[in-house]
Amino acid sequence: MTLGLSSASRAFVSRMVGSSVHLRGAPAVWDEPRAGHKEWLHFTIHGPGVDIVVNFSLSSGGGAGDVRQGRVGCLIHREGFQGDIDSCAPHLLRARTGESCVQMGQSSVVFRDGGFDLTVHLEREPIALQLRLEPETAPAQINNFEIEGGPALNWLVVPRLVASGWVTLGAQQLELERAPAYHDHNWGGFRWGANFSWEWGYALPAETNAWSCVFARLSDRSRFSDLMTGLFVWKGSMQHRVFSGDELSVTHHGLFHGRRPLRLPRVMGLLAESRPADVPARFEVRARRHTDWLDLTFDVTDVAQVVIPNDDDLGLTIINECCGNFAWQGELAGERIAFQGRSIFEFLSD
Amino acid sequence: MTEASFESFLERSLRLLEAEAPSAEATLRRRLGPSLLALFVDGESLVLSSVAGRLVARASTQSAPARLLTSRAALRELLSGRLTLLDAVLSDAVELTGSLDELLRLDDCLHLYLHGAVRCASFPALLREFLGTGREVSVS
Repeated sequence: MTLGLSSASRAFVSRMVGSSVHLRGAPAVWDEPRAGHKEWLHFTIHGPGVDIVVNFSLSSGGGAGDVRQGRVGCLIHREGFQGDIDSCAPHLLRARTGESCVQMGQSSVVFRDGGFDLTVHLEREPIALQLRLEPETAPAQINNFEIEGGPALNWLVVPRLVASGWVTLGAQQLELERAPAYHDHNWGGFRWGANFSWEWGYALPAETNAWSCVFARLSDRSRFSDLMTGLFVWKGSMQHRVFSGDELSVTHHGLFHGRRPLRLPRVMGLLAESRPADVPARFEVRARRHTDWLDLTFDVTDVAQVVIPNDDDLGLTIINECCGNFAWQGELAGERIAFQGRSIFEFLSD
Repeated sequence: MTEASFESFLERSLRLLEAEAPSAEATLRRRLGPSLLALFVDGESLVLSSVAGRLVARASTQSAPARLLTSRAALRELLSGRLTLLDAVLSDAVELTGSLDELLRLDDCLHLYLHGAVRCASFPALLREFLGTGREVSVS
């Protein structure tokens, strides 16, 4: 998959991404981060018959035993999800505010020469990968998502990249060549368990096609009140249109009933033993503005759960990582859009 | 890596909960109340109790209204997600004995202990030492 960018356009996109991907860590360096600061770099990749999630996460606790922590998570979906989350020992963690590099033991992400170099070696699972991700689109940054009773969440998204390299799963080795990929970067001082929830996903074409989009909805925890909803559309390398507020309607169809999900970290399966109860079988976003319209549907085919202890109570926040098939169609300024492919959406639940 | 005793592990883990997850530790202490829990792991027998506002685990063969019997091997399976608690009980990898009220108390206490453990940044190293895996067991 490629947009066929000129070398000048590619250099421009790389500069824009390169100038914005650094660690925030606010306000001090990661060696002395502000208590309660959280930050993560999230990547997804879709190769032939394989969906991949990689997440480098940093947090500074903020509790009685405040220490900085680093975790690298990797989920790979073929016939089912495999993966793990490794906690990185503090002496093996290298991450500094202002730099575009995170090292966690044998795993790392580095932005250099206009692209991301991802390396993952999981400790307890026979999973490793080495991928080069090159941005095809300019980033969008949305600061200060207000969350009730807590500091804001900030979000930078690069919706479309191409990934090349290798992935090993036990004895299997998969080669990827310019596979569609997605990246976002989140940071802030928010508290897990605070009054927020999100639904988020994206649509990337699997063939030469100018269009890509990201949907994000941040709401209160009960999902009765939206704090922010947006469908962000890119044409070529640049952001082209944003639908928001009353221009959007979101519908959940049915409930996903699948096998018992992989839960990570694995020990959290002891605290979150029930099956996913809050994941729709089909998720639909409809955008309307004058004669412009877009319909994005996503059918969930499998779920893995990342289970996070709440910061200020003994509850849990569950990030449902849902892989599935999307279909996107519509018309913008008389131009037809219609394509489908694989994606990974997230739905938060308790 | 030599394996630590269960008594040493449990006692040190309770001190970690006090330091790093005080809210979970206090809730666990309240739920346990004046009752006792007897815990058996690979033949080591301990009693967990609350003494002078502090959770303590001591080697003891004292009887208790609820008892849990298991092994390091079963704990490894549980912590790695390969075994659910229900499956462990149904397969006798974990044996529970007591009245319904006491078993409900034990279940609550076990979950509160786990809620505390997953909030302690220092817990993985302690657990690794106890289970003797030589590799980090991710609990946070």
